[in-house]
Amino acid sequence: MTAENIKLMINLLPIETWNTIYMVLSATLIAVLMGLPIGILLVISEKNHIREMPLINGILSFIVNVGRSFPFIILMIAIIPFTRFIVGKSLGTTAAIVPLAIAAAPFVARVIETSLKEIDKGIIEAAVSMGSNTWQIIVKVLLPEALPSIVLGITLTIVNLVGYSAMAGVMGGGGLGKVAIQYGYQRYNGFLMTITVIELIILVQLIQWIGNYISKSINKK
Amino acid sequence: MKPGNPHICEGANSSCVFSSKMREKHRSLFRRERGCFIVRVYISFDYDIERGKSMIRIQNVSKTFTGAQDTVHALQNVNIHVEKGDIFGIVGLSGAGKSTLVRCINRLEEPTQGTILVGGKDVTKLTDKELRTMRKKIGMIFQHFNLLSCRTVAGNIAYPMEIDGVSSRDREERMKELLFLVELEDKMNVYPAQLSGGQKQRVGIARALANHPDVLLCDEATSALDPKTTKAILKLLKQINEKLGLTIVIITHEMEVIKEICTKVAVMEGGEVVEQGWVADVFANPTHDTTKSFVQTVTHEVPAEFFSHQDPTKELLRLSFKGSCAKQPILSQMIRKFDVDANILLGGVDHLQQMIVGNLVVELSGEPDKIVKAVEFLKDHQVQCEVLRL
Ligand SMILES: Nc1ncnc2c1ncn2[C@@H]1O[C@H](COP(=O)(O)OP(=O)(O)O)[C@@H](O)[C@H]1O
Ligand SMILES: [Mg+2]
Repeated sequence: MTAENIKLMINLLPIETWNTIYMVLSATLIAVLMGLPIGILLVISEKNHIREMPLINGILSFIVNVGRSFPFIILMIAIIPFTRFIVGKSLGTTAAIVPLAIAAAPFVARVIETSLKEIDKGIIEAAVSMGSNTWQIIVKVLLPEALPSIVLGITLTIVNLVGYSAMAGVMGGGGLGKVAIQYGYQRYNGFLMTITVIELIILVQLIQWIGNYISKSINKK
Repeated sequence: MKPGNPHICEGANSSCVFSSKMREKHRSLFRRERGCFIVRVYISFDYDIERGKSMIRIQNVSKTFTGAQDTVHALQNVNIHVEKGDIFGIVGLSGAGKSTLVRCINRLEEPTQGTILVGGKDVTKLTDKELRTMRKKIGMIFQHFNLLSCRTVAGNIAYPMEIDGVSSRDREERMKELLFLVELEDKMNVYPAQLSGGQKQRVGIARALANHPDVLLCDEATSALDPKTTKAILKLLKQINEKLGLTIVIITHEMEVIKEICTKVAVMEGGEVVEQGWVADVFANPTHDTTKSFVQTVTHEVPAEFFSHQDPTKELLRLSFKGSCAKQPILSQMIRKFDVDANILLGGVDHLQQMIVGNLVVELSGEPDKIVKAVEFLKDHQVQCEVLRL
């Protein structure tokens, strides 16, 4: 543990931790915005649900499966032209948000789908019997009833994205992944590598803890 | 005015009669013609003038579920007529098609064939929007309550009003009435998970009544409750029926529920209605085997060994009677008149709301031709006789 290492740590870690959080949370937000409607559609278009649409269900399910079968590193490279089109460049922290969000969206869609499917059919039926329309059932029944479970699913998404975001370091993105690659791998700095790993562990623990806490406090079952 | 020749000497609307303004002329008449009685007859129409009007008419309804391998004929040519103010029970074993039938009424299930009129409107021909409007006027309660777990009692009761666009102030007001009605004022801000089964069903009832429905459908609403809570919930339903004149359709597999509050009953088996009518009639004289076994679950039954030793000078009879003949000493008259002995093996009198229904199993002994005459006598006095043989 040399003085130089300490200095590096103080210079690098706070800013790269922030970069990780920035990438992960932005990507999560975008992924939820994309995955939520898809997840809802996947559920309500199912057989015997409130808006049975087999064709739409089949198509959406296929798209989601395709999205989920891409390894992240391949997806990241494959969509470079798209990233450049959106952000204006294909390298850097902000640019990494695009592949992260696109990788997480199908995952979020499945997470939402699973959460909404856990709702007791009887509750939905009661809402239908009271004359609710589709929108009212989604907004007043499905989402509120599934919220504790959705929060846990999004927590899982965030944790996964922390892992993926490390890979963004390969493409010139910032964050803790960059520290690990540049100092740990390329310069054989074992100390900084260890510190980075410890910090990731703490970060993931913290996210999980917060997610569990929120989910538990809104669960009235 | 002659004695023994009744006629109406004065008519008036009920309020006038109640104010007891008997004309002086009739008072004097009463004084002069001794032995004549002027009897005031109250006929009250103000209870519910709509009672007896058709509320639900199910005509030739069939429902077939077509699965990958098999098709299930859940309903076959069902005809049921529910009048306004009825508490109409539908009883049957599990799988008889009761739920399917009641779910056709608010079209949670689409009937394959037939028409269903609710308040004169054919629900099978409604557009989606009309259907939603109609559903707001048909309340429904469920075996497993189906409350929103994320909303409090107040939130659950508010739900149907929210989707109906009732202002928050009107919601508050209605909420108070409903909480009072179902006796849950102290549980307003509690979540369903903290309520007992009976309390949950009370919330279900309040929620179903929030938008002033014309009909309340109950699908096994008491089947998940213990007997005491069941009684309390049934009492509440009865009270709602009487107070609000609300038509109630009750699905159940327990004859006890029918006996407790229903005015009419339909018995279902294998997707068909095998018997229907006034509860007192069905209890006194069940014709279909399924009905008989249902009735026997709540009345009295003869153990099998009574059937085994038959004697030609003895006849085993089941007698059923209802209403006024339950109060006459017909059996003792018969014994005296025909010189037969009657040994009562089993019996009981059930009170179905206002109606009395008696069920006796007796063993008549005496000369065979006298027994035949005795049975004739009973039949002449509106007693249903069924000869029980093995
Ligand atoms: N959605 C469905 N798909 C296929 N068969 C069904 C469905 N719902 C009910 N059934 C069948 O219809 C019959 C009547 O069911 P149900 O109305 O639930 O009976 P009950 O309420 O009297 O117990 C049963 O044989 C049941 O298996
Ligand atoms: Mg049922």
